[in-house]
Amino acid sequence: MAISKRKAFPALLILLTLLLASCGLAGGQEAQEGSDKKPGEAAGAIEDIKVPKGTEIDFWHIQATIYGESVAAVVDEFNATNEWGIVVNQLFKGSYLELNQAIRAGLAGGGAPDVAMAYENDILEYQRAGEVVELDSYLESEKYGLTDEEMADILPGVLARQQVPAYGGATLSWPHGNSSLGMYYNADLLAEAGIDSPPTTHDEFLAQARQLKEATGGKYVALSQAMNSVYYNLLRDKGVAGYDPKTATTDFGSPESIEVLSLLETLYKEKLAYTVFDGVATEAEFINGRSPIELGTTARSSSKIEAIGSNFNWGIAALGDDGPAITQLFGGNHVMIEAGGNDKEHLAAWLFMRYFASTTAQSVYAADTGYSPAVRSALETVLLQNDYTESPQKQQAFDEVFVNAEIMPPTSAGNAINDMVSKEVVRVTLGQATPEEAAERMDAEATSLLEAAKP
Amino acid sequence: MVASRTNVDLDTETRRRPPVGGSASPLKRRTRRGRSPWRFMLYLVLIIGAAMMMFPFLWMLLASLKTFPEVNISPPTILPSDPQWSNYSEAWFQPASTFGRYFFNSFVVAAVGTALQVFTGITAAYAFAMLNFRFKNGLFLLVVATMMIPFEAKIVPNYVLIRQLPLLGGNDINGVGGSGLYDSYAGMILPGVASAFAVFLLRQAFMAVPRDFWDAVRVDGASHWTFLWRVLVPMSKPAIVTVVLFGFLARYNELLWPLIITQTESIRTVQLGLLLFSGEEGQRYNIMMAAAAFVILPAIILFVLVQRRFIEGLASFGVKG
Repeated sequence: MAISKRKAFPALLILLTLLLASCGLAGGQEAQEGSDKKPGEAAGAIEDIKVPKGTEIDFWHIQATIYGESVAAVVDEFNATNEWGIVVNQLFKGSYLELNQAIRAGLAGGGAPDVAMAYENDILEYQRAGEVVELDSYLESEKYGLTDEEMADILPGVLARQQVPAYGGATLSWPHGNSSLGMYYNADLLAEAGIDSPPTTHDEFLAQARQLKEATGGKYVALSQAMNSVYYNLLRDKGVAGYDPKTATTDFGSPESIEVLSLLETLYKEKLAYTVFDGVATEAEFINGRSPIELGTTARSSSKIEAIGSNFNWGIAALGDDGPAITQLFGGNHVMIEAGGNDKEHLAAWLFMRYFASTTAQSVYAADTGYSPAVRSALETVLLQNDYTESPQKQQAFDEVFVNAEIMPPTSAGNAINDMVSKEVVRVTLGQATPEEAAERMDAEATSLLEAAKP
Repeated sequence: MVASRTNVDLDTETRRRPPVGGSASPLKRRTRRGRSPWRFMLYLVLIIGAAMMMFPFLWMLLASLKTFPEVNISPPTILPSDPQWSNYSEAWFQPASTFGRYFFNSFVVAAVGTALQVFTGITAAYAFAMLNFRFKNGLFLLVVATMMIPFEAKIVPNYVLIRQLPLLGGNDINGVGGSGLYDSYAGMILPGVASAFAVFLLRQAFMAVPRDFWDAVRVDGASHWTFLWRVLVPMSKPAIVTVVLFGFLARYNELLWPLIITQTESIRTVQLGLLLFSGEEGQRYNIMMAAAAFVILPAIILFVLVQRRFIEGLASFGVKG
C-alpha cells in the first residue's frame, strides 16, 4: 500500500519523536541506575577510598549575617588547611523553605549539593527518597571516623538528634551548631519589683508576674503568636515530652498539659502577659526594656548583646519546674545527599562535616555567633573562653539552657501539629476555650495527624 | 492613540465653551478657582497621600544611617543621632563579589530577558490580533490560562528543563552528563522569555488599531513584518513601555528562581544580595536598609524615565499594577 507524501512526513515526525523520547528515557534510566547506590554501600571500602587532591564539594546552607560570615570563615579555614586538598564551595540558599525547594529541584534534575543543612523532618523526606547517605560507616572508620572520646565530647541532646528513632537506627546527620529556647530576664526591671533572681518553677513564674504587676503596674512577659514553642517548653518542664510519633499518642490531654494551659490562661486573664507578632517583636520588647522576661532562642544572645549594650543588666536562664530544665533545641544539622556525588566526594563531604563539628570549628562558630558549640571541648579553647568572659550571657546560655536542650520528636506531621497547637493555645489565652477543652481538641487532632504521618 | 485623540477633543471643547460667570476673564477665573477651598482640600489630601507614599522611602533612608542599637530602639528615633555613612560601604562590600557585580548581573538578566520577552510578546500578540488561523481563540485562551499557574509549581519542571537541555553545558544529545544552562545568565533568563501577560496586553493594544491601517499598507505592498514593525509597534508605544517596565521590574526583583538556578556566588543578582542581611537568626536591619536604598535606585530611575508612557499604557488598556 503506497503512502502519500503528505502522510509520510507527519508519520516520520511522530516516529522520530518516539525514538528521541525513548532515547531520553533510556538515558534517564541509565543516569538513575548510575547513582542508585544503597546508602552505606561503600561502607566496607571507606578505608581504601582515596580523595583526589582538589576534589570539590558543594555545601548549601541557610546562614546569613554574622552566621553566614562565620560559616564562610570556617569553610575557608578548612579549604586552606585540610590535608586532602578538598575544596568546599559554600553557598547561602535562603531560608529552610527555599533551601528545601532548591534541594528538591536538584534531586529531580541533577545538581544536588553534597552537604546541606536540614531539620529532621526534611531529612526523613530525603531518606524516604533514598537520597541520604548514612554516616555510621564513616563514623566507625578507623581512618576517618571518631574515637569514643570524641563521640562522648558531643552534647547528648545534639548527638541524639543525629540518630533519632525515626531514622531506624542509622546516623543520618551531623552537628552544625545549634541554639535552644531560653528565658531572657531583665535583672534591673525585676529588681525594681523587689525580685532578685529569675523564676525556677512555674509557681514562681506566676508569683513574680503578679509581684511585678503590683509593684510597677507593668506586664511580665511578651509572648509571640507562635505559642507552640512556649507550650512545649512549659510541658517539658514538667517532664512530659509532648507526643510520640511511633505510637501516634500525645500528652496533650494529660493533667500536666492542663496545668500548663491553665498557667497561660491565668497570665492573660490577669493581664500579666501580652502577645506580639513574632520572635523579632518579642526581642524588640525585651531590648527596649518593656518586657522583663522573654522566651526566645539563645541564637539571638549575640544580637541582644550588641543592641542592649550597657542599657540594663540581663541574663539567660532555663525555667524548669518539677524536673530538670529541658528546653527545646533549635537549628538544623548537616546531611549528606546521595545524589550529590560519588564515593570519593562522599568521603570528602564527610571529612568536611567532621571538621565543622570539631572543637576548632565549633569554637570559632560559637565565638562569632549566638550558637552554642556542639562539643564540650570547644569551651576549653582560648578563643571561646575569651568570648564567654566578654559575653557572660553566652556562657549562661550554654551552661544553663543549651546543655539540657532536646528536639521535639521528629515527624512529618510536625509542622501541622505546631500550627494546630499554636492555634489552640491562642484560643485559651483569648478566653475562647478552657484549658480542658483545648487539651482535648489538641490531643484528638494531633493523634489523627500522627496516625496519618505514620510511615 | 485613542486616548490622545480624546484628549485633543476635550481640550478643543473646553476652549469653545463660553466663560463661566459671564464676562470674567480666564485669568481671573483661574485665580478664583485656585483659591477655592475645595481645591485647597484637594491639594491637602494629595499632599498627605504623597507623604504617606514617600514615608517608607524616607524611613528606609533614615534607618540606613542608624547604628544597630539605634535602629532597634522603640519608640524609634526619626533622625539618626550619629549618622553612619559607613553602613553604605559595609552593605556594598558584604557580598564576596560586591554589589557592583550583582548590579551588573541584574542588569544583564533584566535587560536581555525583557528584550526577549518584548520580542516574543509582540510577535505572538500580532499573530493573535491580526492573523486568522484555526483554533486561534482556543490557543489564546491556553496562553492566557498559563497565567494561573503559580510560579512555585513550575520551579522543578523549569529546573529539570534548564539542566537537561541537550548539547549544552556538557550535556549529550539526551540532556545527560552535564549541567545544561544551570548557573548561567541564560538559565536565569530563559524561563521567563515568553510571558502570557505581555501577549495579552499587546494583543489588546494591537486590536485597538483600526484595520484600515493594514488595508492601507497592503495596498503599498507591505508585508506583515513591515506592518508590525513600521506601523503597529510605533502606534502601540504606551503598551510596549508598560510591558517593558513590568518585565524589567519583575526580573530585577526576582528572588527564588535566581536563588535556585545559580551556584556561583559571582553570578548572583541584587535581590539575592539583599538576602544576606536577613537570616533565620536575625537581621542587620540598618545595613539591609542601606543596601535597599541603592538597590531600588535603578527601578526608580526607570520609572521616572517612562512614567508618562507607562500611565498612558495602563489607562488605555485597563491594566492595574
